[in-house]
Amino acid sequence: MRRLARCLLALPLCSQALFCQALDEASFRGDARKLAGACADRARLLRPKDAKMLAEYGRAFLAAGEKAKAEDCFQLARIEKPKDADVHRLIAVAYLRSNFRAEGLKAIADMQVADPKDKNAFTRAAVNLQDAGLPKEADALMERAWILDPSDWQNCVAYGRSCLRRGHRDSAAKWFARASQAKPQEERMWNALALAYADHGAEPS
Amino acid sequence: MRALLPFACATLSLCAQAPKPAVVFDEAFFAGDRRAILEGCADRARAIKPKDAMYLAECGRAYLAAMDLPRATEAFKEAESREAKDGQVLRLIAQAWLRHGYKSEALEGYEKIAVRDPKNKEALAQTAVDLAEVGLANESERYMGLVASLDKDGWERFLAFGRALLVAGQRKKAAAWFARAAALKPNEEKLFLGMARAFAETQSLM
Repeated sequence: MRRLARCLLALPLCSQALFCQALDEASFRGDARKLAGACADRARLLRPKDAKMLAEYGRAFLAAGEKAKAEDCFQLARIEKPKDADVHRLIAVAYLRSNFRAEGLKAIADMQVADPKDKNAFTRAAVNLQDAGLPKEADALMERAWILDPSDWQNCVAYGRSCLRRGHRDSAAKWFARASQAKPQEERMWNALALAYADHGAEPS
Repeated sequence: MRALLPFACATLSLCAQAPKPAVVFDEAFFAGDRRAILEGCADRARAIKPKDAMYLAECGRAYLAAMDLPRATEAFKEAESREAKDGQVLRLIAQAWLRHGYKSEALEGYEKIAVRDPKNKEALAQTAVDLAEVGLANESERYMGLVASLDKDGWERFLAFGRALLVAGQRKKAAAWFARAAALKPNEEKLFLGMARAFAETQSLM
């Protein structure tokens, strides 16, 4: 009985060791989907309880086509940090990037309930919605973030940038004008606006 | 008629001296001409902080995007004269050239980092990523080699570089850097998550 228990305890370690052995240059040339899943498995083995990491593992599993595993991670993440808006946002991003729009929007709604005052998470989520091709939903959420703090020029620039890269110039103009009114003497803001147009709104590197 | 001539000249001269109407940075302005926005915002940033080399380099990038080559060159020269040995400033200038299609100016600029600030791991690693992203794989690997010789344990930089190569479609080269990072940190969850994300996000490019 003890021997059996020892064997069972050793199993995860064995799989870890096997995975380590397999991670040479050749293995990284393999199928991208399988690699995404395998790397997420490995990361999860090393740190299984962090809510944000769990949401990120879920995203990799979803991209790898392993929806059941992804949902398992998302559920654990929700249990671990139910009030953390960013956890819900990360779950939403995972769904939106893999074209599960309804699930993505549900996670965005959960985010707003979990922490109705997290303007930064709202802004990041608005950017995510814009990138996912949902401009109306994005605008509505960004409006909510702006009401919470109209003086936050960084959030206005970040969202305006996403509008610009999606080709919504009028919307971008609205948010850039708001940013410039929020802090007209801030050189970083003017610089950020110039660079947003220089890069056509591409994500900053 | 003769009496009118001096008056006309004086009026014209006054008009020429009159300050440009102040730009109103409202919604209509930001929805308008891209070049005017780029120059307007860069001018404003520069007026507030005219001596900071980083800002000068970034203003130069905005002028370059507005296709104002003389002003861009002037801003870059001023930035370089202020911080001639700062790898970050030199990288910003080179990156601006690269992003706007001036390849030889960019490569010349990046080389200045290796010569003038050869121990700046961060600037050299960013150089390697910049070059990998635009498909200059061999040039980028040369700079990443310099980084690896300065920082043998820099798994985060190896990961970022591998990701850039992956995005550029250089799977074999990316695999080598991922393997190197994994050999260094086999128990680092952030590394495996980073690789998972890189493969997940670039699947469609493969």
